[in-house]
Amino acid sequence: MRSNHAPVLAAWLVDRFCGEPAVAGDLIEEFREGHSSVWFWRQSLIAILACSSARIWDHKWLTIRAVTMGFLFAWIVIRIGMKEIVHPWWDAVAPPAWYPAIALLPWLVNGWLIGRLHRPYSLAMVLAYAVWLVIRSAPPVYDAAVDAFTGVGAGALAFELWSRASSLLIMICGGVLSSTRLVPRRSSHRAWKSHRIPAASAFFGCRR
Amino acid sequence: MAKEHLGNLELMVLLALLRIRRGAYGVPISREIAEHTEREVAIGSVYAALERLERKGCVSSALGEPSPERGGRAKRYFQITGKGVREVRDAQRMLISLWQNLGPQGESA
Repeated sequence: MRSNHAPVLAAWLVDRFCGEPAVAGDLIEEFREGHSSVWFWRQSLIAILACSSARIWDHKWLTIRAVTMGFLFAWIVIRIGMKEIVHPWWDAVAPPAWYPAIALLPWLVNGWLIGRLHRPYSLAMVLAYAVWLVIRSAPPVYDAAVDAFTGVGAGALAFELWSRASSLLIMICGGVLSSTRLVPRRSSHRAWKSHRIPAASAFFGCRR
Repeated sequence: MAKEHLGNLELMVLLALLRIRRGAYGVPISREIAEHTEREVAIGSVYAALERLERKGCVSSALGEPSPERGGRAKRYFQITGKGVREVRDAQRMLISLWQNLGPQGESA
């Protein structure tokens, strides 16, 4: 049986990225007419890409500033600070296996800073930086793939993919956090308390 | 400054607004376009076009009341402005002028 609840996560992401509640409202209205969860997710992704790319196109200088800022932060804090200073010190004082979790923290801060300093186009700018990261990741991933297929280091490719994908995801999460009010406004507190929490299956748009 | 021409989707959205006239929002606009072009248009793309058109002054919008069947989200109603109508007429004139002296298969007569 098809769930009556539209995927809450997808609708929430559309609200965050498009900054216009009517878009998610229209998608929910169409979903209730009989579309599937897959349709809803696909439409949500198109809406996020369409809203963000339009903002990137309209604010090119702001996009260049956001990408430059993200690049400088990554270069100074992650490449120099984390790899040269924190990593050697961390290995001496704590279990090395925990380091990857610590290494992801600056990416969260990077996304948060880009979002915070580029309002009201926070998430479009974060996505622009994410695209830059993907483009920049292509040569090292390609080299690792060539090595893996020639039998030199298959593990290196998996590590390269995992580390780059996780840092990208964490960076986007930082951007989303920067545009999210974690503590609800005083006036909306009652509405928040009375809001019915949807079932877990509805959150991801699963069928019951 | 060079005149900014309407894109294909922008023109279709303006024509849909002219056809719907009252109570036009994302869902009926995308349905109107889908019905006449026989292709599905994503609601997100329609909103991106509407945002551009609003900035150009071709459409104006107003927020309605939130409703529970839309997850508590309001509708945004759109209306074509005088400038929008002029832009549609200009595009029509331009296309007719380009079609002139062309045969049924698009070959020059």
